[in-house]
Amino acid sequence: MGRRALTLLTALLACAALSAAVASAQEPQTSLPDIEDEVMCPVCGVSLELATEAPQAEQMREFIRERIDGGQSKEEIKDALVAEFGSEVLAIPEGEGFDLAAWLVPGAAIVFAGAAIFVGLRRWRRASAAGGGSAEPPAGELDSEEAERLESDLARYEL
Amino acid sequence: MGARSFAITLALLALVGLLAFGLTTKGSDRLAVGEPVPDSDLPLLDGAGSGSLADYRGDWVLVNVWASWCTPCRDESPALQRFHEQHSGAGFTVLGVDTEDTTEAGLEFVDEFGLTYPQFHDGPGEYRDELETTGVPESFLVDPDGELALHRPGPVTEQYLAEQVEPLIGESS
Repeated sequence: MGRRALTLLTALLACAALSAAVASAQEPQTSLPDIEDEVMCPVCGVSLELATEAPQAEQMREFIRERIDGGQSKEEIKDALVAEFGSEVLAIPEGEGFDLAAWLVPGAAIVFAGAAIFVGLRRWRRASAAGGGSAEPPAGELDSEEAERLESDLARYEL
Repeated sequence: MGARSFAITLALLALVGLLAFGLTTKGSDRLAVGEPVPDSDLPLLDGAGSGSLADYRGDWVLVNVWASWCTPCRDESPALQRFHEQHSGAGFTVLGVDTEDTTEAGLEFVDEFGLTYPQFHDGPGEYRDELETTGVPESFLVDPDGELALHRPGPVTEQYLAEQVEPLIGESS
């Protein structure tokens, strides 16, 4: 490869790197709908995407739009919202500190409920197996006295 | 009574007790005249440190809770500024608390209405919760001992300030 070709290649690579940097600086890293469903409108008590007409929600959207236009990432914008409104502004709790409980408790509840159902089913099956030779008639079947009474009742109402 | 019936009865009684507790305590912790007004530390809206209502102990303070997105707050601001200009320095100040608002928007509001009285920032709305406000704007006249003297849910007007607030702060100044 000649010296000229090497210079040309270097120039091309520099152009590519420069255009990538410019593009990343100009193109927004996130969008309003992408953030709206992850933050709350504190006054409205619902997520920002559902708070359509509240004045505070509109102000928050403006706050987010300005930062999107400024090239900030979703996390940077969420951090800015937390700095203004506190961590309660996040619709999805953070996975650390006390907020971790919001993830752990439902998970633990599901595991606990699953274990309870499993144990209950095992006990029920064991009880069914053990009660196979019982003197009592199985549920749903009638003994002779009940069958007789049913017959007489049906006969009485027969048209 | 079997163990199961006893447990169900107990659970029902607990539920009824919880409902009764909720009903009887509902609204009972609303700030009343004569009670001490919460004085938590809050950042200043302009970012120059923090402050508290306690810093004004010995003076009458009209705590005005507002937000830039609140239309009635815009309506009352000129009256509050005029009242502050007329009475500040004589043992009285208006103290703004910008709540659930962005700092930028709050500062723009202050600038737009030329508000010169001190402003706290309560972004998360925690101080507003402590004051048990029902909305914005809402104003609390706090006496020199830090106790509530007057409560105004909704916007204040020139007439309200002259007829309700002025006689109280005039008595001591």
